[in-house]
Amino acid sequence: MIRQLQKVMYEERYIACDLPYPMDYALYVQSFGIEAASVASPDEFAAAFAAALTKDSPQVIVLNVERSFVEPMIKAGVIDEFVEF
Amino acid sequence: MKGAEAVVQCLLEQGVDTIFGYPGGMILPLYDALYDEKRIRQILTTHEQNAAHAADGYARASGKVGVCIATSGPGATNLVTGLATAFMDSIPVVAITGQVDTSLLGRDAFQETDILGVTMSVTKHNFKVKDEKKLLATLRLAFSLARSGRPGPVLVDIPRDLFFKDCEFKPALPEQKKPGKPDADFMICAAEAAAEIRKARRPVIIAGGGVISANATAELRAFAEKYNLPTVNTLMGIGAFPRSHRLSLGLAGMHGLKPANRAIAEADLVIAIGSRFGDRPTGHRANSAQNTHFIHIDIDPAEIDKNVASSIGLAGEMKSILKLLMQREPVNDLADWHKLLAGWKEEYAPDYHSGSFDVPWAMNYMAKALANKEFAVVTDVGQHQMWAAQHLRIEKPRGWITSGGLGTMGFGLPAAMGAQLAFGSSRRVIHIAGDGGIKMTGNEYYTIARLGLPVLSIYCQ
Repeated sequence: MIRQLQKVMYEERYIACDLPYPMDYALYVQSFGIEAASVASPDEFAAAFAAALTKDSPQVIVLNVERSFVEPMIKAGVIDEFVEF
Repeated sequence: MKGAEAVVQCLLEQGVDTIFGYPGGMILPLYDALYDEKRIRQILTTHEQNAAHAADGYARASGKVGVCIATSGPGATNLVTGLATAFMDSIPVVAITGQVDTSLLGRDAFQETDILGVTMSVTKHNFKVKDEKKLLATLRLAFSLARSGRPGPVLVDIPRDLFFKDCEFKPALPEQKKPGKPDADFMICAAEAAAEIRKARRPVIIAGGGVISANATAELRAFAEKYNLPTVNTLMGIGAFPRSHRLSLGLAGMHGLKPANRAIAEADLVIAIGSRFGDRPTGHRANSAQNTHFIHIDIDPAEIDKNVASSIGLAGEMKSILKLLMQREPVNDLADWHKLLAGWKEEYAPDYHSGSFDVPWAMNYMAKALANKEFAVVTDVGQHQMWAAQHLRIEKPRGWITSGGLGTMGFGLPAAMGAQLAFGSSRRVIHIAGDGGIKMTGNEYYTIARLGLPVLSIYCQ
């Protein structure tokens, strides 16, 4: 969301929102003994979600998705004018 | 009995079955009194902030008062973000903090903090008890304040020595405040409101979180159906009106769906129900020059005319107000308005078939997979929250739990834990988060794993 605000209001001067140092979220929750799946396609997600729903224990699914912006987004103070991305 | 035991008896009397907290020196006597009390589940969290969020999630899921406890000093200050979150979203929470002994107050004793001063502006009310004779009355008042009228968090600060003092416990039933009878002025306003509704050509309802806390979703639905009123929801109002209903236009606001936002912009009558006309849902609509009429229905008279100069304000108990407004019969023809809205719905329908693996696609997939299942969604704060609000389809009240007003990153996971404890096996909690919030409060997975709670987390990274 910070990135989105910096795109719309700060001429894409991205600061304090890019995190080039990776973290493995699946491995992180596995350290608590929680089952986790990491998915990168619709088919993988569908399978992981269906499997997780059948289990009566904590489950985590990490979605590796393309970065994008939340649309629509209204222009400041006007409810029916929208930002173009 | 001792003060600490009396506090526990008082909690039982108020219907408390679950407490979230973290121990420390000044709250230990209360923990000691909980040792033998098996009717209260004591949930040890990994951080006091999470205890407050978990109590908040428990309250949002159950409709009951959530309870968290912490020690003095850092324990108490760690609750602040959780209390502020509950305050902004009008959620009933009681926080009990231990305090240094009365003989040490004001002497900068170890772990002493003026938590009353600190939480003054983020609680509905707060108390410091200095006399054991007032301990139980204060606690009972705290619960009554938290759940009555416009709900909110209340903090009770108890110096450690009071937990050891002798206290007389006389059982008392929890106080139920009854709404007052409407006066003549109110009835005139209600009649004017009904007249406005019956002559409107382009009316729209904005349904907010107040509908859910008033348990008035059935009345809202009957009201909307009776007058054929299109209904948008705020972020807090998700679940107040069934998303699959023909009159639902979905989320309005900063990231609202275009049909919902355009409906507000084009409306000649906006009926806000349990919404405070926040800047995000209405886009500073009050500043617009258009000649729109407003009807504002809210439990809190202070909200009327605060953000929008409403044409007609009706403050009071929502179920009664909606029933009152339903006593007339619709006369206006809204066919053209509904035709326009149907056109927008079609024109702006989201495209889930782009072929790319993105979050809107995943949300739509989950919406379909979860249809007819018993579930509740708890989100964190950020992009994923907005995508979830736009694309999931929540049909029932308390099926959507989110930090709306304060926008607290890190809220999601501990709130999901509290909600899952409240729902038990009646609903599965789907927790949706971004990677940032997990870095903030992901430590609470320790408790979720320890308790084996079936929270299903979806991270969007």
